[in-house]
Amino acid sequence: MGNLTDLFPAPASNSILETLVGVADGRSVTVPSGTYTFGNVTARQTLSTSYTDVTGSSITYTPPAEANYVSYKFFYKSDSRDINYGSSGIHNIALYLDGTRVARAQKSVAGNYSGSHSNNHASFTQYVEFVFDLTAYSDDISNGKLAGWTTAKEIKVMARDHNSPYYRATIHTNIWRDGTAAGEFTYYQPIIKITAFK
Amino acid sequence: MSNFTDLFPAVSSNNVLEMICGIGDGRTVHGVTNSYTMGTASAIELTTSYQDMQGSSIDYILPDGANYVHYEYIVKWAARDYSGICNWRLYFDGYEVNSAFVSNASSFGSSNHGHHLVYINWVFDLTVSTTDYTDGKILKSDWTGAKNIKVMAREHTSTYDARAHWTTWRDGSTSGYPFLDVPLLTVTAYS
Repeated sequence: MGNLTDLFPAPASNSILETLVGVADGRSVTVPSGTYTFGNVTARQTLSTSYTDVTGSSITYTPPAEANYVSYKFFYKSDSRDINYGSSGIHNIALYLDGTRVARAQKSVAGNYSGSHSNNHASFTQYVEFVFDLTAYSDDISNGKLAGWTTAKEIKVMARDHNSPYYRATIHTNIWRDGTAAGEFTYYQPIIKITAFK
Repeated sequence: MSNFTDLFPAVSSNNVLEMICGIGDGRTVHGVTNSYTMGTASAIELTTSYQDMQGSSIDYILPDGANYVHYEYIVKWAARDYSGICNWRLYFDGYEVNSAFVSNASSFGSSNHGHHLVYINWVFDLTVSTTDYTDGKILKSDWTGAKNIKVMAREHTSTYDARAHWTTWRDGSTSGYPFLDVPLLTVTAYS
């Protein structure tokens, strides 16, 4: 005989329905709503002046049935790539849901402009974070509002440089380690965290 | 007489088993079955040798059923010279988790204005069949009892000095600096 609570499960004791979290190393993670496979980042990514998918940011997600809100959090590293002009590494970040840009989530990231020299030092750990509201009367993806979310939808981040040849960025990289400037020789695998709330 | 729910415990309503969260002020935080005392942080100068980061260390005991552990350490970094290039390493039980390594810096410049948060972040995968410390993949049988997780940091060279838990400016002034900017540690276990 099973536990009584297997037959009559308790209602959720808080508003979190599930959290899906993982490193973009190709792992598969199972949560109550299903099994999800993360991307596998194995190299740094150089941006351009056209928006391109940020590697490791994509996940095709179906929230639990009771979900009213879905938080998407993407943790990544960015570095300035420009070695001649200000080292600010200006880049733009765009969030997409099922192919539609979430304009409300648009961001720009840069270090400080610091003059013409050969030092591309600006280097940050940072998050792209947004909360989708599933309680809307109609879909308004641009503002991250949906009238429910019952099928698999892809969430991803796209990014671009501000311009070329100046103000360029590279992501998923570590340029310095242990006292050496060994070039862009290591990569950092980003992390996705999705939380579904009632 | 026992509680009804002790005899018939409720199934977990989500996959979050426990979350330990606290700032580096020496407080004790109570988890589901164990308690943890946070380190005590002060504003410090980094050197070119790795040193333990205050408030990052925890001797963590897995709750039953854990498949993933998310370790998050949010630390204030400040440049002292030029861009203040800094390196951050994550350790599990004395082994470096190389994949979690990050470097950070501000833009190069003669004013040491660069002040920002650094996020040291990793998700330990406990569903693997063999332990790989380098990638933070830990066989459950290798995580019995308390295992120490911590961050160590160093500055790139003495030309690019850096500081931690440090704020120079407050309310329009530098009077009385350095001010403590306390770190935040969060450890979450998931089924």
